[in-house]
Amino acid sequence: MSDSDFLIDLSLLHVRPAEAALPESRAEVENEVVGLFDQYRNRILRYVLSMGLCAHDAEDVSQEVFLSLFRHLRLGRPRQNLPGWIFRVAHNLALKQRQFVQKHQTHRDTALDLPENRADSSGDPEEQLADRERRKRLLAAMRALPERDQWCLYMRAEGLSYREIANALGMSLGAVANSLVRSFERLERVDGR
Amino acid sequence: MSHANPHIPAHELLLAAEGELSARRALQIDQHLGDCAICRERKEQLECLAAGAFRAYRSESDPAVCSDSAARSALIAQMQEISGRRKHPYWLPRMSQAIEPRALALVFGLLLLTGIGINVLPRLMSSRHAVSESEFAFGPVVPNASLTPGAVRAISVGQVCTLESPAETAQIPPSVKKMVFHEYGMDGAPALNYEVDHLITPALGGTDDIRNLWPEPYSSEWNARVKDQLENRLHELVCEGELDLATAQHDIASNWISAYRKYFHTDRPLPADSKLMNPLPASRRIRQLMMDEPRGELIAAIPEVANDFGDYSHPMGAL
Repeated sequence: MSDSDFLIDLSLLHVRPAEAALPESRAEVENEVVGLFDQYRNRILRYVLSMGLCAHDAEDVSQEVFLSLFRHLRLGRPRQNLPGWIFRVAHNLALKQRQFVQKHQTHRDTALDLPENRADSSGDPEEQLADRERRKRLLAAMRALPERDQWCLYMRAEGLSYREIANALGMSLGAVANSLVRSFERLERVDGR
Repeated sequence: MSHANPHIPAHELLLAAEGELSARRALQIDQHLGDCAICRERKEQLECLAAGAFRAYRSESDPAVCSDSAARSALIAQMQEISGRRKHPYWLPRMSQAIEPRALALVFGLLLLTGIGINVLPRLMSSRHAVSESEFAFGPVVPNASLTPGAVRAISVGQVCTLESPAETAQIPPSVKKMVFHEYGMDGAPALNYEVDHLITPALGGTDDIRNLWPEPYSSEWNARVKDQLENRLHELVCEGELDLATAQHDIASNWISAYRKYFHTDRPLPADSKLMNPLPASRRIRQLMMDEPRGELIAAIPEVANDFGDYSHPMGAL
């Protein structure tokens, strides 16, 4: 299955015109976007990094997400479930960028270091080692999950509600819950080894 | 609850914790958890697993998440640029604050010399590659990539090549055209001298999104009519299987003048009646043959009138 199969139809987000907010002044919209940027930028960056983008592309995508949000709000488009909208746009842009990179480059460094390369600042060395080993196992298991399950898991890790994830990925609430259960059960098997 | 399995399914435990079950079902689960140690333990296991997985995920990516203050400032400046409240690029003030004046002068001097070396000297040496400086007096012959990066809809080659209905590419509303002029800081510019053009033509899957629109001049050498020639050429190549759609979209969005040079093997715009150019894709040529001859000749001579999609307006109006 190609990445484009997972592209989400943004029009699904549109609500009835009656629910759309009136356009606000530019300054109000700018302030709102900056507020959402402060709240979500690092989460978006981490999420798109987890989708395999390099740091530079992830920065570009996250910046584009908030510019798109600015345009979206300036045009007075629906502001229902903005966290879901933000993640959905980030998800789509990251997929497109990933497709582009895959098409044009055979190899590219990813920004994600392996956890074993990171220093752990506290605790007993044996505990640190065990903790690192566990994280390694869990990360390897997470990367082996089907992509859609990974996205659900990562969005949940970024603090999105089930409803927001469902909206962002175009799934039902039940499908989100089932995806998370599947992931947890697989992680459990790996963790219990 | 089934007698075969008296315990709560895991997905319901998650939905209950999320508050996404009906009040009745949530109450049943709450009561069950009070009585069933196995389900309580299962719920704790799931919570523990989630916490471990989320911690691992965040620890993996955290070091790559860098300071957001620069990105924040850039975003604010970009929004102001879009709103037309900032006349110069957002990076200029930051740069001038960060670098002392003499160093700044040196940097600009070097940039100027590099610019002369890269841009002016080759033009002086070979005028064939030149896009005349005077052309920029007419307006943006190529769009600003930050305002108009291009936007496409999901469309297959088959759909592109059978796209015939003008209704599929409706006229751009005047309010959107006005916004495009505004974004380019061209409020008050004479609208008849410009075509609010799609960077990626709808015939190649481009959308009416404002990110795919810019005010393209009619008067410059590389003008809206010349771009129409390229659009027709790319459409033809795509439909004849000589070029893939994504490449056509990418090339026209990256720099349509370079794409024109590439696909017509020329450095200057070709005259409309050039033998090197098929002004209309095959499907349009067939329809043209069906028209009466005098009108057919006229249409071949004025490509924008021959545009089947109805999204380009000629300043003189339809014939």
